[in-house]
Amino acid sequence: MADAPTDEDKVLIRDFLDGHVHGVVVEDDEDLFASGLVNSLFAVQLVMWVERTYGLRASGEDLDFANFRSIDAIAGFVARKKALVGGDA
Amino acid sequence: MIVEPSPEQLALRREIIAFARTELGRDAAGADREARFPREDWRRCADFGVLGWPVPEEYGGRGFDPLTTVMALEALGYACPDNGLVFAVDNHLWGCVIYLLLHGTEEQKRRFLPGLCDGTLVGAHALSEPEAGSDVLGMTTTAERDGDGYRLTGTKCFISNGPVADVFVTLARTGTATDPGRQDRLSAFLVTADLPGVIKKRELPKMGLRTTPMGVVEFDGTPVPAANLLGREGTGYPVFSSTIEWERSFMFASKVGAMERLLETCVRHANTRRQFGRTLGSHQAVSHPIADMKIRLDLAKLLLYRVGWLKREGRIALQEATMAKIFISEGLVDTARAAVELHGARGYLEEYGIERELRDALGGPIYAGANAVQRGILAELIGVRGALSGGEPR
Repeated sequence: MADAPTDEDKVLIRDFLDGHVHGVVVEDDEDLFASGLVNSLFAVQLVMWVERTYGLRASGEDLDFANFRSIDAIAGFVARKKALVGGDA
Repeated sequence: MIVEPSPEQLALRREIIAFARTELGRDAAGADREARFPREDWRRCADFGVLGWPVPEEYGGRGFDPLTTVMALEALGYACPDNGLVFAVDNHLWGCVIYLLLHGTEEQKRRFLPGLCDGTLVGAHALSEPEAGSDVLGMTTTAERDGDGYRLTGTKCFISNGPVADVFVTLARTGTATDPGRQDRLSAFLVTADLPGVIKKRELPKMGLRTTPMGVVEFDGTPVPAANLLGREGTGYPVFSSTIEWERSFMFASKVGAMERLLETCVRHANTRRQFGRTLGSHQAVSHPIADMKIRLDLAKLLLYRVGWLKREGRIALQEATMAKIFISEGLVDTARAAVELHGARGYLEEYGIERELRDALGGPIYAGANAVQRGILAELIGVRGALSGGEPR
């Protein structure tokens, strides 16, 4: 499936997230906002990171916390954005 | 990226300048002195289409794209001598109208936008609270479920346009408040001034932008129908954070225009006022600050147009909007202060209007997100672990 998260994406996301949670172990489905590990700016930072890393364009509509609530959610968001531009962005 | 206005945008600029110079701010000094909202000028702005510049034509607006909108506002700020009137327009557009455009339902757009465009409705952004200014997540206004709607209780202060507003965009805490910092406990609402329990408590006199009324608004158990919820319940913070980049940058387009007006005023003065047998401008102590004004103006334009271009492309521009907000607001203060000094006694006297420009400029680094906080946000956006993200590692 073109919009399925890949293991490679999850590794990249974990690397990015490590810079924000300082070594705290985070489960793939853990709610990052509920646990207080990240704040609202994280969403913007993550979108900027997705743009840089994958060469994608993000819009204001992408700033939905549902896209960033967990590692699984972020991976799904990345996969959907990549699929929109034809897979390997 | 270099953005140059198109021939159509330049023609629009000329049209706006001609309108503003002849129709607006005829008694800007008097209105400022009396801190009077210029209702007639508001009507003229509505008739000219200003209040609906970014709104699609189907809702009563002009349908300008974001880049054209910032250029239009820049022209308005350049030619309208009443900075307070322009600030009222900015609050109407970027504190209220933009929320409807980005997050309103079709029904909400059809219910509110035509009136907001034709000037019969004045919009405002009721966000700050006595104990929660920059700290949006610390707000205490509550919205409790009540039948099919909500009941809002709380006090909002420093609300520009508040005393004359008909429609408020506001944020309130929904759900349980066991964790007040939780970002998904806020919801955004459209509150009309005619609802029971909306109390415009008092006007707040201020140093500058005095023709924009500012006040305190209390929601005393105000019943708000669910149809007035902006976005889904609990999405108030994403609604706010995805909209605020418009306010932080587009609200400052008119300030770039004011910078250009001040520059031209100073050039005229430097070339006509003579001291020691020669023009003021022949003294480097006068000409160099004017050169600095030009540098600030051009850099401000570049930052502003970049945000306008990004938004026209549908892109996120929080980082760019934050830089524009800081640079333009502080650049205008620097330019206005230099203009006062350059005009000497005339700069300090009320009758020449230069001191009013400085008073009007001084609020810029404070409103729409204090610049100290904006610098913190910018630093964190580029990777610095600061106070907003918890500071030290856990």
